[in-house]
Amino acid sequence: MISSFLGLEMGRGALQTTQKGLQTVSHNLQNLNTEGFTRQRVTQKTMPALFPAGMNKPSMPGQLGTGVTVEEITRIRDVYLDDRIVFENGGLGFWEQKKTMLHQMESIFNEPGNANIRTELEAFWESWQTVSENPSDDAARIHLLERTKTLNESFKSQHYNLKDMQTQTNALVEQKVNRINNIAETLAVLNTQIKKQELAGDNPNDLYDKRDLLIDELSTLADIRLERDNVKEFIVYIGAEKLVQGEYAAKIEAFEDPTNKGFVTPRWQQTGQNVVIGLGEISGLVEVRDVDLDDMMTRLDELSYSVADSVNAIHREGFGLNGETDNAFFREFSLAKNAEGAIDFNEDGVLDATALYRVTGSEKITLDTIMGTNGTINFGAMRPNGNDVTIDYTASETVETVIDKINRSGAEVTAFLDHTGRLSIKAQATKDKNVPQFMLRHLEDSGGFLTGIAGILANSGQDGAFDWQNPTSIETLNMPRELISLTPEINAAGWMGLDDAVASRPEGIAAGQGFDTTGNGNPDTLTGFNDNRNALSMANLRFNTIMTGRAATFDDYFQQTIAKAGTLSEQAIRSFDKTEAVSKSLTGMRSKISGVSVDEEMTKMITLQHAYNAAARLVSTTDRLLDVIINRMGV
Amino acid sequence: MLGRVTPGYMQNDFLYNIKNQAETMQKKQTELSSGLKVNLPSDDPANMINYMKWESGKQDIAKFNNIIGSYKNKMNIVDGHLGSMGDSLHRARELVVQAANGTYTKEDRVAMSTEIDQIIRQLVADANSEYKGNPLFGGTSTRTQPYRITENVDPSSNTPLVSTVTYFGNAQERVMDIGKNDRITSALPGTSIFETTTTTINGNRDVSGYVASQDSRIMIEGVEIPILTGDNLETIAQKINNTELSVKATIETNGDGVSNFRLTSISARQPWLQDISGGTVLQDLGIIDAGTEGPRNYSTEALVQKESIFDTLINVKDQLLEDDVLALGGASLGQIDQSFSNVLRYRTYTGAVTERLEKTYARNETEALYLADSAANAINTDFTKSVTELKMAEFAHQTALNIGGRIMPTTLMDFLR
Repeated sequence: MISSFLGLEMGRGALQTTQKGLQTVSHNLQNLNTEGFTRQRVTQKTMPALFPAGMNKPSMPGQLGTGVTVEEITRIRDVYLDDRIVFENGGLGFWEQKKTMLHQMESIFNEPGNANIRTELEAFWESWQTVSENPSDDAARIHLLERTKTLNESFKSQHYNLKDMQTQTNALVEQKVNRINNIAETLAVLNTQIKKQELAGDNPNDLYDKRDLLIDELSTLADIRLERDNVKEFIVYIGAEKLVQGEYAAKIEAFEDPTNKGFVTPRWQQTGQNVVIGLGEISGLVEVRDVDLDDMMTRLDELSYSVADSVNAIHREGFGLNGETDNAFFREFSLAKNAEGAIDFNEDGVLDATALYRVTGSEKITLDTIMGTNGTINFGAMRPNGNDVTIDYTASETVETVIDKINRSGAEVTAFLDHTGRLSIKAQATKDKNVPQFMLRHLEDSGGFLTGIAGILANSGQDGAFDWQNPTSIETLNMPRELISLTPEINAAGWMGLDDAVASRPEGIAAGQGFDTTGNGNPDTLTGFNDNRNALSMANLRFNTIMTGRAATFDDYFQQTIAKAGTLSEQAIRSFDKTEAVSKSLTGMRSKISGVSVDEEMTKMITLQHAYNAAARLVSTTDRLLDVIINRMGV
Repeated sequence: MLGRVTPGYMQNDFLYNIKNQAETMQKKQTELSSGLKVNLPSDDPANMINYMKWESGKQDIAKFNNIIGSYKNKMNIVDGHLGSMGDSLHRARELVVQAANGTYTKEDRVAMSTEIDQIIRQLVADANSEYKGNPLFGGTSTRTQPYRITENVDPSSNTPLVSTVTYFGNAQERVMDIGKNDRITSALPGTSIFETTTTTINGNRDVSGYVASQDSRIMIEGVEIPILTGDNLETIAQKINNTELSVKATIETNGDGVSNFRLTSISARQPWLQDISGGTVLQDLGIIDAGTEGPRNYSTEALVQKESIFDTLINVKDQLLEDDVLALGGASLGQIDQSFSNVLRYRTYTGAVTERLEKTYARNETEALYLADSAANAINTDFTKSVTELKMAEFAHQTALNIGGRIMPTTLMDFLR
């Protein structure tokens, strides 16, 4: 038998179902602009039909439908697309940070402009030219000193600007690491709530949305991988480690790495292992901090100290108006606190290494001087446990070819003939973080070039080799002490300044050269007030190709530095635009799938409204039927 | 367009495109307002490098032209003084020609000697002339007058007359860079110009069998010559003669086997000699003494033969006083001619340098123009192009806003009751 009230029952079911549908439409419309919201849909199903097969099944034909009910309320979302977005977000975050930071970095150089290192360096050389024009004129000398101060300030301020940026970037890294922890904790809490709901048989759609939003943010910070399908737990990996596993969140600490100037490195708190962070905002910031900014600062150091060292080398040979000689022009702070260049490298209290920046041979040679002997020059290994960098030369080769070979050998040194034609070998910046910057490693010649011809080493062969890991290695060198220059302290651009011998003493500037009055052949007195030979050598330094390998002059080197900053920034902008376009297209696709369409919801609303009306009519019709049965069929 | 189009999607898409258009407009606007199409190195790294290269080239040229300008002035002043000296020598020659004529009396010649004395003073004044507070012909060593006069009172006329003129400068030439690897001699010391005869320094010391005891160098006229241990007299002389200097070395050996080392300048000038790098070769050879600057360092024991134009005129003056007509008409006249031609030679040199300076100046001006043009092309805005592009961007922007404004708010709701 079928109950008389089945009709009412079915009407109620239909009313409730359409109501839930209308409520979901309303929920969707109201969250039209909620970030991360996914449109929801009510899935309806039919109620079980009467009667199911069984022993008690009444014998009546047909299966009678019993109406509608809500099966579930689900989100409309494409998980595959979500994973694509998570994947692309890493690159987006990485390039966004690089773009922002590198834009700041190139802005620091103030190019193209009128007040920057390039123009001030030019002004500096120009001042020497003016001094050479009027060597006895105090005005020209004071002008030179003032321009030098401006140059020093420029180097200093750029150094500190870059350093500040480095510190800021570091603070950002720390912030981002904290944000990861924050997100991880929230995710763990969400997972707990979601799990409870799921156990109760529901789809906690809005909690899913919140979780997905956090995952999106997390994926811009670091390269993450998700395990959504795991029935038991929702897992987020960074690298191969689990950041979130269900209700548990691991912690990442911002570890201040003493081997990297105390800058922070993300590290798993529990294991102390470095986090393999992958592409993301954090790695973008770390790369800017440790590579790009560091490189720029090293280049500034290299330029500033090369200028200082070259100027000092010439200045020491000259005489001031006050008759003084052997004075520096720029101040020098050496890594070594003794004249032998010996340093305590492993900081155990014992001198164990020699830190030299430049050695200049005692012999004057020309580019077409012939080697005379065959030989091999060994510069030692540039990397820990690496192969020695060597070059071979034959008896018939000229100095020019051999210098070229040295500069192309990758030995991290620059060889050149100085203003008087002596062979100089100067250390470059090194990429090996285990040794100090600007330090000569090893000099060894099996033939006669570095020994007899150039006058750098006293003896050829292994026994006569110079090596930095020997605190008395300076004894293997054959030139007077004033032709050796020691490795500077770190941050050379940051402490560039005038030496006391000339600061506020314009007469101390050595524009002229000297002559010998005692008969020992060594100059001891200024030749003449108007002798300008030294100032001319200084002014000509700007044309000398004495920077890195083939890079040539100071100007060229600085221009390359600018170009490098510009190219880095340009590349970041382009890569960002590219990843942004991809990301934009993906989020667009997501919004097409999961976004709320007002038209659609309205249509649905009207459909549901009519369904509701129909159900209501069904109830009232059933009501009237029952009324007939109860009131009019009366006896 | 795949799938559903939702307001959220339309909104994001619209904003993304509007943002891009705004960026383009902003970029064009910056180009127009700053006048630069490269405002940061990243805008165009390659052109940035070009710009910096051309810009520093321009700077260099501007500086060099600055120097050249000031040197042209200096050369004109030098020329003026040399011209005046030529006139003085010319007058002296006239006087000597007159005096050599037998029709003049002794008294006439004494009177002429006073005029010669004045000419000497005039010449010394010219030789002491200054430019920007520094003597033009004093080498590099002095701020005061390089030539100083000593006077003697002549008993016959009872007036003080010049008896000697001494040089207090040094023998260093003043050089200046007027371009990259382009160096000119801007001023010679007086001892290279105001000389009548060549200089011969005869080391009055027996140096037979001399062998250099150590490696060192000697410097002659600013050129360094390396001397090695074991070099003997002949080798040293050969080294000097091989350097193509205006100084030649000879070894004078007499019958007793006594050898003297001798240096002679080819032209009328006092050479600059110096021992350097710890050596004492020239001192050992008896050519120079230690302790003083060239050219005043010629050894006191050496036999030095030289005569400046002042010496020549002082001789003339003495000959006039002594009434030595023979000497006046003979040797002295020749020497004045020689002096005149030496001064003239330097004047010609000055003229040639000035001409070269002018040519370099003009060439630099043209080059600076090209460089400025190239530098501007590298980073300056092409206004026509930028304005057109800005207008295009503006148009696109407005269209997008207009259409966006019309489409965005339309939904089904507008049509429902």
